[in-house]
Amino acid sequence: MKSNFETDERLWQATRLGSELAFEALYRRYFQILVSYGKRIHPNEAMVNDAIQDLFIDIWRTRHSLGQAESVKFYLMSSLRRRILRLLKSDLPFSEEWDELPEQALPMEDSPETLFAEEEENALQNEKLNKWLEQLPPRQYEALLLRYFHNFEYVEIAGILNIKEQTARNLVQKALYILRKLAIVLIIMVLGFIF
Amino acid sequence: MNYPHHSASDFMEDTHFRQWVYQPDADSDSFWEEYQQKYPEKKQELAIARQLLLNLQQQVQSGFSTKAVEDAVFQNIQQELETKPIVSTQLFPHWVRWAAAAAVVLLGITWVFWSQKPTHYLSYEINRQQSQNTLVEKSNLTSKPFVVSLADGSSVLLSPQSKISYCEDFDTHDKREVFLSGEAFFEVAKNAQKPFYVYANELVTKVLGTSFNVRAFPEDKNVVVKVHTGRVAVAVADKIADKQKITARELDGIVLLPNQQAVLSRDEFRLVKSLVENPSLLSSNTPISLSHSFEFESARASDVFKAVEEAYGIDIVFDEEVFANCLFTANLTDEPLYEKLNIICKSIEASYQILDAQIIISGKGCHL
Repeated sequence: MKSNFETDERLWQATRLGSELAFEALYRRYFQILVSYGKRIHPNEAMVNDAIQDLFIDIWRTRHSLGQAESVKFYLMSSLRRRILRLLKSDLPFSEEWDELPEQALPMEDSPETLFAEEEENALQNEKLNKWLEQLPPRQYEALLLRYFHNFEYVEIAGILNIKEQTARNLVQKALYILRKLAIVLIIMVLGFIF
Repeated sequence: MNYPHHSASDFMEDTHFRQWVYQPDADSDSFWEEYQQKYPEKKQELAIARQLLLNLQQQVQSGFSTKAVEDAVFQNIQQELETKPIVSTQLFPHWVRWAAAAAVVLLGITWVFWSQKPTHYLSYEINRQQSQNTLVEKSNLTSKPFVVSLADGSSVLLSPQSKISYCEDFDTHDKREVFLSGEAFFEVAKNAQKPFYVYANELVTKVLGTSFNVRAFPEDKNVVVKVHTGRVAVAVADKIADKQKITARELDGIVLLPNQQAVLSRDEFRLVKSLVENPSLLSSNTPISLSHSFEFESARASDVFKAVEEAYGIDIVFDEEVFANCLFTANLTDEPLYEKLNIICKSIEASYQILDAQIIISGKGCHL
């Protein structure tokens, strides 16, 4: 994910000390990751871009009083998430808080099991998996991404999603449980190609 | 190595495994290849874990935006920050952490440079070649500096034995580029759309504000940029060969404010920010009595430091709580900066040190 040899922490440090170039480097390093993550929280890309813009403007404006970030990525992603939820709240004053929705009420069309049964055997394995991922309850999916793509510890995931650490573990385990069951079947079919 | 992985999630939980899937290299490839030969029964779970991770990566990447959007958002950020200048009202309440941070940065730099050897030099001639445009050259063979006016309204006070090259018409290009050998003082016309670059030996100066001095004679050991007004960013030239040995601080550059200078040592490619020898009052054309009063009577130490800070545009770092009870009475109007600091510190039993381009005040405070 990072080919640049400069660490996040050094860039953060330099930004706090007023380096505009470090500030830009930090932005360039994280913009795409943040857009992709933000769109999962809310699909309106323009709003996500605005939130990212405001986030970085505030970072520069308050750079003198910013602390030494232990994890820059954690800071950026959790701040962005908070901002998007805040924007959503102010746009739709009567809408339900996304975080408070019970898991069952979240959109989920077919269960992965039925979907799998309907699929042709020779369909592209990749597309199937992607489809399943998208059909996971959003919170499970988000936790899964944070853990296995973004490399966050469970305690950090709990901090980002504003839930207990154990809940974060459960979310990830639940998602994996479903996926693994399905993936086994797929993988057994494709093992011959891989090895 | 003992690897007690049993299920796909065990693999996925393993940072090294994820690293291999997302950024495989020869080492990790051979490690996981061997692993599968040794534990063939785990092949299936490993393949599941790998496939799931790759799908997650695909999903994240499918959400990426275009480079154009990335640039546009950053431009918005820059515009927003430029229109409403940053007013720093807070006087570093976390100064201890600041000092610690500065120490870390310094240590980091020292460490890197010990392992460095001289790299290739860039000269005026080499720098000039990077320009695709037809360049005009002006050289000063006289014994007095003279002014060179550029098409965009900027002016350059060119020192003796110095020369510059530039494009006669900046309009058709997206940046204004000037190549310097020797010494010159620049007053740059503001144009946010067209940043102004000065290439001097291995140092690149990007102008965000207005006036500054660059000194880069071919035989000099150092390249020096001093800022008079405005803000200026300096960095080691992209074209320096053997980049591995240069730290990112040097490549990404540093920002200079008035009364600050950057010195690039050409042997080590070390870029150091410091205060100029004799910091001058900002906006020196306003009468001192009006702009900055240095007559204090029972003034709080924090107000005194603030006055100095503002007048010289220099960051002064101190613990407001510690010096809360310190009062100060004196007239410092005619003293140069360091003498001012000496007098203030003596009277409140403190001491100061200059770190990077900041002045750090330490002491035990005063008891009433």
